[in-house]
Amino acid sequence: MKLNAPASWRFCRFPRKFKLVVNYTLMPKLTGLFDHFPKLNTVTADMVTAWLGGKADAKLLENRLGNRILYPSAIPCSAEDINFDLVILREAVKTQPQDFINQNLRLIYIPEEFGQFFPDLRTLAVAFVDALKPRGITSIVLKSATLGLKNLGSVIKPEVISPSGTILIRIHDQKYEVKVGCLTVIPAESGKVDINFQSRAAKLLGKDNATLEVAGGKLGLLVDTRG
Amino acid sequence: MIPGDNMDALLVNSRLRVCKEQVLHIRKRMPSLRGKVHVAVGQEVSPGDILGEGQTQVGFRTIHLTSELGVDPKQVARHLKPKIGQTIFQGELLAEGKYLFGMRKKLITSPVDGVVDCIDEEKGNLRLKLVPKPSKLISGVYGVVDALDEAKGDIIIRTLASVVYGILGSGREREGIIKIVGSAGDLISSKQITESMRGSIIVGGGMVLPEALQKSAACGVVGIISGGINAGDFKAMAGEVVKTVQQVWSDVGLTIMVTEGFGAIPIGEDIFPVLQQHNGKYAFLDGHQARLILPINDPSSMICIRKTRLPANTYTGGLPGAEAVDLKVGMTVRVVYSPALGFHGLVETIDKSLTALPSGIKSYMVGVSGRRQKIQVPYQNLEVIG
Repeated sequence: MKLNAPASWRFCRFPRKFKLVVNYTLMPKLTGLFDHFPKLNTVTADMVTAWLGGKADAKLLENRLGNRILYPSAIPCSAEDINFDLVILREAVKTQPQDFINQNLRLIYIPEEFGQFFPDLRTLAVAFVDALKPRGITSIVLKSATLGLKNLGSVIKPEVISPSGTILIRIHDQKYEVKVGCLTVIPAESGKVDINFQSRAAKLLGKDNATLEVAGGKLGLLVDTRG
Repeated sequence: MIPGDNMDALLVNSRLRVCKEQVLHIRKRMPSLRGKVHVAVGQEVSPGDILGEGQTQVGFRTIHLTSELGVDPKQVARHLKPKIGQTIFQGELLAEGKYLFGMRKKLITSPVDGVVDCIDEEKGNLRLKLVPKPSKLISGVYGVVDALDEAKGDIIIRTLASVVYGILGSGREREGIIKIVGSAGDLISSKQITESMRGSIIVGGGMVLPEALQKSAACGVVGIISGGINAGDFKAMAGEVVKTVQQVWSDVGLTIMVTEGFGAIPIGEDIFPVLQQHNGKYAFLDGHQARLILPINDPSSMICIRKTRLPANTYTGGLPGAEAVDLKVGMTVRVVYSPALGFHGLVETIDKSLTALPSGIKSYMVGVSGRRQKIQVPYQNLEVIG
């Protein structure tokens, strides 16, 4: 939520005598996370249904979507509500990807206020990865108006060449085996981390065996081998 | 925890929903720009007064002659009786088709008074230009004429009225008699819409079903007020599901104002009693501004109107925006998130510590006491109404 513009005071002159009048200028309307997306009304129930496994009632979904547009500052109460908001977020991010990914710098930006709305940072990052579909290695950063950019980790999306198989990732002495077709999170400390990638089922930056430097952080490394 | 969360100030949005009995300007628009205005600035008017006369704006009526006659679109012109540009009156012979070597005929008569405008030979459609009809502009309110805008054909009247603001709407400003067709939460079906409702603004409970919307338009209902509407139906009427009410400027011949949101939601406890009080009375409904003006139909209101001075024309048609206010015990609030969307009540308690919600978000919970039950709601999901 955004909040600015304090109350102001003003002196007004009334006929015959002076009078102090306290004139509070209207505090601007509170805004919410979904106010970031002016094209939210282009998100349809069909788009949302796909993320929910096609089980939901289209009319109910349309109404829930509409209410999210009308009341963007409300917060989700139940686990189901927050999942629904994450689904909307995925589609909303797709409407303006340029605000959240820099393809040249290979960076995904997560605005700080989003992190406060969705307390589980990992789920939030996965939603961004789902929406933005980065390829290769992309760093994920938290974008704060006051603190600037803070590294959260990286997403590693190799090119899958075989529907089955595994990927071996080494970080220092630790070995992680990741199955093709899933999204796995590997812990990686803050700062630059050297990783070794090996696989016969996938290629990273065109190579099946590579040693690379990636950004670690609170989130770690998101290895996305989904199709 | 959401930013702004501190017990010094729990800021929530506040929105004006009902504004009772205030002197304001209403706008009456002449039926056409070339009409004759019968009132002058400063003149007092009563509900039955005629403000001006003009002719209703012309329109077109398309008749699909290919399907009516069962002929090829290119042959439609041969069956047409009047010539292009000729005036034709309702019931007059428009086209004639012959079958079975001329033994059987099919006659098509004109449904309206109009001028034969053109034939679309690709689709087989005939277009009739409607003949303008004389129309009188009735005041509908007690008031004083404060301004005349001849360029736009607007007459601005100072009057005493209550105003109800909805959350969204569609359709241009229309006038009619308020007719309540059910209780605040009823679902309104097509059976409840009758021919007797022509020219009325119907108050349709928690939701108006799509068939009822269609029947309303067919029956000549001028406006609908409901607590909720299906987003798909609203999209069909307004062209899109809105981001803000100001963005929608389409008109399907029916004005709608929704007071609560999407889905079946009873009309708010603050709004429904006001509508009940005005049942059977004249009102102005503007869908684009999601606003209903309920004039006070009492001759004594003139005393108040005469006493109150407004700038020449304060008719802006704008919707009051929401503003952030500090939530306090005793305030009247409305829940703006499911599952209790639309719940009204008084703030009884405000927690001093944060509570973790099942969603994982931490927030200050507020105890809201309604007419039948008390609920706990995170403060962000409340809207102060006043």
